Amino acid sequence: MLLELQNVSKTYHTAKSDVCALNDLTLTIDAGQFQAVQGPSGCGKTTLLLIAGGLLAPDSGTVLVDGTNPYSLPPNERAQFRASNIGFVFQQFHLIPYLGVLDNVLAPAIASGRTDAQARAEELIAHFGMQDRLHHVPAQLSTGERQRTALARALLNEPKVLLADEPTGNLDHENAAAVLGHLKEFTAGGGAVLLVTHDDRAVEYAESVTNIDGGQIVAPQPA
Amino acid sequence: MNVWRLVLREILHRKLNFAMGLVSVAVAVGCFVGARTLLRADEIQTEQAGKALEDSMRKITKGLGFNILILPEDQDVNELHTEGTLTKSMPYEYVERLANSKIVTINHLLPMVVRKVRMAEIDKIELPPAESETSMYVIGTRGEVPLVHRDLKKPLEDHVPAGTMVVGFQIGKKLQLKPSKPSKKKSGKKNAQKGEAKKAKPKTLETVNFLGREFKITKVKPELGNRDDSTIWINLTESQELFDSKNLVNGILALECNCATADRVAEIRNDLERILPGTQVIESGPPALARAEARNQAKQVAVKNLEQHQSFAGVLVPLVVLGCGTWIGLLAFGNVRQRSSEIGILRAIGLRSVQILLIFLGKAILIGLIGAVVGYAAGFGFGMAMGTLPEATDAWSQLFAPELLLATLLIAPAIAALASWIPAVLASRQDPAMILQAD
Ligand SMILES: Nc1ncnc2c1ncn2[C@@H]1O[C@H](COP(=O)(O)OP(=O)(O)O)[C@@H](O)[C@H]1O
Ligand SMILES: [Mg+2]
Repeated sequence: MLLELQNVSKTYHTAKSDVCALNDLTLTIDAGQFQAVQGPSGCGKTTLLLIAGGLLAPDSGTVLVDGTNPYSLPPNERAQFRASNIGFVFQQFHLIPYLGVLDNVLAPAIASGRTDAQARAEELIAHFGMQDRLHHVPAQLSTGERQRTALARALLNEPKVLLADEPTGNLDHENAAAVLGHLKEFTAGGGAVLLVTHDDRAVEYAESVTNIDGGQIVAPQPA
Repeated sequence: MNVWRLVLREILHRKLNFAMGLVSVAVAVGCFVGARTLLRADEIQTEQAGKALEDSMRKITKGLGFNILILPEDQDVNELHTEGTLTKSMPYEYVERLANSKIVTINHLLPMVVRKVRMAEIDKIELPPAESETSMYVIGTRGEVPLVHRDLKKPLEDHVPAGTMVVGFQIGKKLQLKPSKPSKKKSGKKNAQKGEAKKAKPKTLETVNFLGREFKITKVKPELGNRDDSTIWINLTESQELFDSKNLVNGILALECNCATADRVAEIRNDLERILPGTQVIESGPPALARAEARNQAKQVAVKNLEQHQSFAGVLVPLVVLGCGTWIGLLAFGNVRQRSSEIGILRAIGLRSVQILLIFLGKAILIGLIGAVVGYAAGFGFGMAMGTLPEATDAWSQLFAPELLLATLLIAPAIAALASWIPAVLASRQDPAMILQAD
């Protein structure tokens, strides 16, 4: 198992009310597996992804990434663990606005200190067909190019797990297909993908689909 | 890829934010350096002004007569001050020895015999019995002894020929004689003695008997308000005969001496020790006091000036630094808020919180460094342009202080980093989950 979430629960406490975002959820993903989690907006998908990514500690339950519980590590080691094991892709891309494509893809090297980062970045960029865009900043790119840049960044440190939050949410059909194709490709190389989305198209690329609602796994929705 | 590259790219991307921080640091540093440079110029200026004032004061007081009196070593100076007379004597030959020497510090040698005698020794002076013992000074003089090694200067005082007498104002009054009209030749700028330079043919105003000799009074001095008013002058040789001191003098007056060093009496003493051993030298007349006072005053004015400027700079500079520090802090705070999404993703991809801290502090340090350079150049330029320096001073070498440049290069980045510290810490503590969730 590359990713295991056992009986994970998370409740957000706000001044007005408590919101139960995840309720005793269990999910496992093997190496080479493309797992989709589908559900309506507000059902807890992003929460699930952040917990799986070592960014948000669950209230209860355990998280294991390649056998390690990131929340048992001290903060700096956890950051380091994220840098070398987990890649993130978001709907909003979260590219750094003042860096060109190459520098954006290289950003994780600040954390990992990889020595072959430059070569690897150029290779990834070329693979995603953006070699003539090396020094364009995000504002000069199409949304599809931005998401491919974000994907290349997520892959720079050769993570074991790729976590994608609505990666196609802002993309047209063609670009969405390209991004999903690249995710599939990653699993072919032995990585694990957790894709959370409410988009039916995205689900088609996944080997298995889990439906959640109200923070819990539910039976698949009738189409 | 490293943090510094990130910092540089961000600076180039958000030029305005950087420029505002930079200007702020430059203003603070500029004020500081400008004030320091001006103060330094001030210091030099007041120093020089004080010196100049002292100098002109010296010249003025010299004009008043930087006079020295050479006396026999065994002469008690107290006697001169309290009795107004001298009782010890030295050979007349001393004057000639001095005149033939190469001494440059001394001008106008006036050998003299000094005595105090009863006024009633002049037969035509009639005094009421109560005043019968009133005395006057008698000075035997032969006029100036020319210094051999120099061009002959005009005699400073009229030679009093044998058989003649010059009397002071008060003596003239007792004789019912009016003071002689000052001679019209030459401007009145020179002192009284000089002004009354020789007349072609001195008229006899009165003939008197003094100590059994006949004297023709040729001149009555105008009122001077000092002991000269109660003095009579007669020929030196005659006085030596009258007072039974052949070939002896009581003192040698040297007028309008000039010296290179401040402690001129010491300089003259030094010269005389070699030429005339067995003599002593005193400065006669009040100029020494006036000069010392002038020097003190000049110094006080300079110090007060400087203190005023220092306290002004002492208030202004900290205020500007504080204001600019606050401004930099606010700019950094705005920068952090603007970049929260960036901070979230950088944390997600594995940057440690200290690296986030460094991104913001690094920027502050760069702002501080470049601001310091710009500010130093501006402040120094301002100081050079506004600071008034005495002429012929090389402003650059006088005002450029490498330690000040070094200090600003260290302190400005430190202050900028300190001002950005709180925003930077806030940034490094931001929870990436909160940021990334806010879709
Ligand atoms: N920081 C938070 N504080 C309070 N409530 C939150 C917070 N983040 C998410 N929630 C709530 O938790 C629930 C799940 O949110 P999320 O995981 O973002 O859902 P999804 O990604 O499926 O839209 C939602 O009801 C959301 O309003
Ligand atoms: Mg979401």
